[in-house]
Amino acid sequence: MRTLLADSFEQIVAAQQPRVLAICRRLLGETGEAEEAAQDTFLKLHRCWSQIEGDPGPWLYRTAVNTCLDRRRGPRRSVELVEMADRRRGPAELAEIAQRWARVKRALEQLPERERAAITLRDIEGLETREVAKLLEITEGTVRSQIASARMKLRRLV
Amino acid sequence: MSCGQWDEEIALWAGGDSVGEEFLAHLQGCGRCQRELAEMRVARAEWADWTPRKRRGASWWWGVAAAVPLLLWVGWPRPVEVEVLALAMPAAPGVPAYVPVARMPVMKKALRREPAATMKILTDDPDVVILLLGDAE
Ligand SMILES: [Zn+2]
Repeated sequence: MRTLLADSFEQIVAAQQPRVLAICRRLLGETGEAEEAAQDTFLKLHRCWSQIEGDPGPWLYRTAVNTCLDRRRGPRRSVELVEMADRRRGPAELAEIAQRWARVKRALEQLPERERAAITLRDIEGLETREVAKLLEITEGTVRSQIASARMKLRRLV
Repeated sequence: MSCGQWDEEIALWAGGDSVGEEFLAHLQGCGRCQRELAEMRVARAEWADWTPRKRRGASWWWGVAAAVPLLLWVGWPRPVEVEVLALAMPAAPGVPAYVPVARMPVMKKALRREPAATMKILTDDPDVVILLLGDAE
């Protein structure tokens, strides 16, 4: 918690690194890419350091989710399906998944970053609302209103 | 109560999130909200349901069923007989065995034989193609 103005950037990094890395691994898997995404997240924090007031935790967590989303070539839940499609169905369904993902990603980019983080975890990752709340350090009520708003917007955008 | 104020509940319910009894009671008797919910579910599947969609059209069983009379007509494909020459001449120790290509005429002939009747049956599923191979004799 950045409770004191004296908290340095280095202290925040040291305190938040495990949590940010855990989120990135949740979204990108146990890959080097998850570590790169975590580093990117802290670089973004460094750039916005002067503008962030109070506890930087929730900002960091949703920035981590959105950074991972930028890096992803497809929804993680579909990885097995993609492999299955590769073996049994051929390139047509792979192409369909890729096209859908591109469309969904464009629509997600138009959402406010808070809603984008919540809907990514809830609808694309398939996490329960309470898990999303825990991960983003916000209340379940906030997650509910963010995902409802995001779904209403995505319905028009996708 | 105007239907528009249930939009948030519709969005939540479409994704399996809990909603109040009051909304569920309203939903039972409201065609507009039922339609909205159905549309929201379809829309949500676009970003939340990543199972590859099933192709429309006849299943591959129809292809198999269609192939049965053709199989009877063409005749059940007989296996191509391949005569294998006994080429197992042990080589001298340290000298690699040399088998000239010209020494394998029977094998070459057998491999050259192509089935006389080859029939390709396309089915509604582009991934299912039935090939019927018949023998020349
Ligand atoms: Zn209604």
